[in-house]
Amino acid sequence: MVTTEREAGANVGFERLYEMYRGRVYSTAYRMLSNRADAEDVTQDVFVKVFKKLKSFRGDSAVSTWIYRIAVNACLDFRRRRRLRQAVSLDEGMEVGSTPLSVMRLIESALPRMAEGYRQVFVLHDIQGLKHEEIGKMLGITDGASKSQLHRARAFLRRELSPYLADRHWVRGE
Amino acid sequence: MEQHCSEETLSAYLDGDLESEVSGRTAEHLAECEVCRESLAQVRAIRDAAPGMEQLLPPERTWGAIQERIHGERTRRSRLTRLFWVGVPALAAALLVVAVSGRFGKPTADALRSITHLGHTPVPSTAAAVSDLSRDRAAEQTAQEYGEYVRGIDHAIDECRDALDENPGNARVLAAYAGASSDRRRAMDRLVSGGE
Repeated sequence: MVTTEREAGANVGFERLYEMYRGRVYSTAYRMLSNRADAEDVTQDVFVKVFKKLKSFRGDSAVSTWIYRIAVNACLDFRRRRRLRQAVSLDEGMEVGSTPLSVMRLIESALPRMAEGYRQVFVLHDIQGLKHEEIGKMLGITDGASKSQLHRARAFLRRELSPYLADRHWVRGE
Repeated sequence: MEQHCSEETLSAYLDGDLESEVSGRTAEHLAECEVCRESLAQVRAIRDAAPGMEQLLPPERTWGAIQERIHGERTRRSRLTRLFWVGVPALAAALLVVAVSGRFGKPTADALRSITHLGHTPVPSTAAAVSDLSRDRAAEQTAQEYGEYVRGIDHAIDECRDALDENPGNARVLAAYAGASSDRRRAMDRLVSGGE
């Protein structure tokens, strides 16, 4: 498949990039699209685009921001093209434990039911750790709108998960 | 603050996004309201748990699929380049001569000038062979060859569209696309006008 030494070098660099960012790209796509097969398709799209645009990447932003931007756009494009499939319900086989770990699982199970705008910001800010300024640029919204979406996302999760979070001593820090 | 705080307010309070006056009132209310303190604890638990959520990995096959797609696009691009810079001009020149001369006898001076104007060199051997055929037989053969010619251009146009979907700004593909579309339009005009 690789025909020249130069191509081989480029391929090694690209493979390292893939190793570094595949988890973040796939996780973001999965949590935004709520479907593993779709997330895999989007991950492929993202890295094919990254490969094609790598030479023209000017370094104006961090590589991670650049890849996130491609990933977010790919997710938005994907959603435009295909209606979201029915998400897995919280009641389907979700065992709720009594440790902080279970909150992560609860969030994971509730994400598919969250409104798209809230979910995008929650995934990018609270899970992936991006700043509101970066998210605003990626999604074409203001910082204030990004914050507002985030607080609504957390409010949604609080309402959804409240029955499972109540009476758990570690939630109150006891 | 007599009413309970909304979850949005509590989330904004946690992140320090409230104006200082509102933040102060919220803090006072929280000191007195156990219900809101419980809500705040739950919002905080959600916010603090989120960054630790598992980083999911794509299946192993994904890397191979990406490699195959990249390789496939390279192959397609090189095929497209060959098609446009070598294949189509030669095919267009040869078949235009066949189309014009096959249906209406020997190539007219206008037809040859038109082909020369397009930058294609007519193929004398093809033109000579066609001119030797009877009018009907040549017309039948022309229809078949003309169909292949148009299908070839249509295929090239489809390839261009695929390439432009991937990269709308590719100047070479845009030029090739414009050239193929123009060739097709010109060929159709010539067919409809009976080679005049």
